[in-house]
Amino acid sequence: MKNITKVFILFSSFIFSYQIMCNINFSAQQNKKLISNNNYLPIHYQSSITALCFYGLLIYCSDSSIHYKHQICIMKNMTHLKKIIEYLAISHGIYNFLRLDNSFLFFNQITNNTGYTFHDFTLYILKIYQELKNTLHFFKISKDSQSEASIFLCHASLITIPKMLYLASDNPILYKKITLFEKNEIDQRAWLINYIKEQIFEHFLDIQKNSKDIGIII
Amino acid sequence: MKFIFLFLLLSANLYNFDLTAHTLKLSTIYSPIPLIDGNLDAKNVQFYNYINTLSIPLTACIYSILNPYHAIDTIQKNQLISSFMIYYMIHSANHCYILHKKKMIKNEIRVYVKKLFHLLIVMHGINNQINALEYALYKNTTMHSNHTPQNVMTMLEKLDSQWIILLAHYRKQYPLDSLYAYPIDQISIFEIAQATTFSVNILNTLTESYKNKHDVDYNLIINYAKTELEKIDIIMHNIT
Repeated sequence: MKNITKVFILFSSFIFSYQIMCNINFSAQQNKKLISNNNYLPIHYQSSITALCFYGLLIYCSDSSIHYKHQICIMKNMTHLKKIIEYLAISHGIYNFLRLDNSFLFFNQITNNTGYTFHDFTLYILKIYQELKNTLHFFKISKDSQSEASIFLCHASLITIPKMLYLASDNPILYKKITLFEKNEIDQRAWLINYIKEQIFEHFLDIQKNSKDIGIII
Repeated sequence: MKFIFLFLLLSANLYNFDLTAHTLKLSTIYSPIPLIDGNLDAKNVQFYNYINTLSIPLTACIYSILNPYHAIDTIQKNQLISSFMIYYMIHSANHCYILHKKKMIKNEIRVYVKKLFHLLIVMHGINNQINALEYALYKNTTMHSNHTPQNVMTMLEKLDSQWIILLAHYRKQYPLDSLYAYPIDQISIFEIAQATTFSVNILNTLTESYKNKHDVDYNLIINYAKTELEKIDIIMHNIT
């Protein structure tokens, strides 16, 4: 059905553009003749087709714009969610590397400015991500296959430095800091935690800002 | 004997019932609509809605401006093509009307499915919260008591049975639609918040209950559920 609609739209846009081209590029003689005899141009003789094409294009443009806006809105939120999940995974990696005694204090300091505990925050983020995927499926919005490429399953206790580096591969500053952190440079620990905390909070604020448009309550 | 037992087990699995419970109880809610509606805010698409509304009058204006002859003259000149075109137009208009009606009915059923689904999520969320509180009490005092109020349980049973009927009707009409699964024991404040779009007061009451971990007066939500259930009952009676 989608293909038929596309073919129809292409056909109508072709006819519409043909009509306009005829109107513009009509030879001078014919133009003169037509105007002198009847005052009519080719577009006038096929008025019903032109009107139909105009209607089809108008509806198609407005519908596809709404669809595009909808898609952008959901995908924007999904990108922020993915980033947050990456930072949460990196914070698990830091914890695994340091092997601290008090995990509760370490993790909750990362999400304390969001108003949730680390456990609740992770759970909510994953749930929102899953729900948005369901929404995309429900509205039959096609998703870029590359957007799923970076997802991999790994237990939190198995996140090591190489996995952290892989997650930070698109962020050169973070990548460099993780390599320094691996060399046991103590200053990097506080910097890394603060950076992750800030990034998570920023993305969280962005999600909160965008979520009202598509009815997510956080 | 083995065969009968296997059959019973399979059918229980298929219909998603808990055999261990005394009453009929759902373990997972299968919904044809996801929890997050995902519809764009009306303000964001206002301009495009105007275009959609104005498209037919605009097309009529363009047609009347461009058309050199009167429509009657054109029909009189090309009778055969005109009669065929009129027949085809009436036929396609009829087809479009039927499709539109079908879509309207589907949307109407979807509205009620969504309402009932949200109520079901909220009530099961409340039940989970009550159970969690009961468990905490049991852990502290080593005394076990049935804490769930009777009116919550009754409403939950009514909603469950209504949901099974409505979902069966929906699946019969639209068997190809996808289903989204929501395990009942995992319903928490997140699901409740997404489902409580119908009332801010109820959302605040339930959020407070979850944050401060204490019981609240559930009469507000139960009364709301009762009125909605009555409405859905009437609609279901009309549909079936």
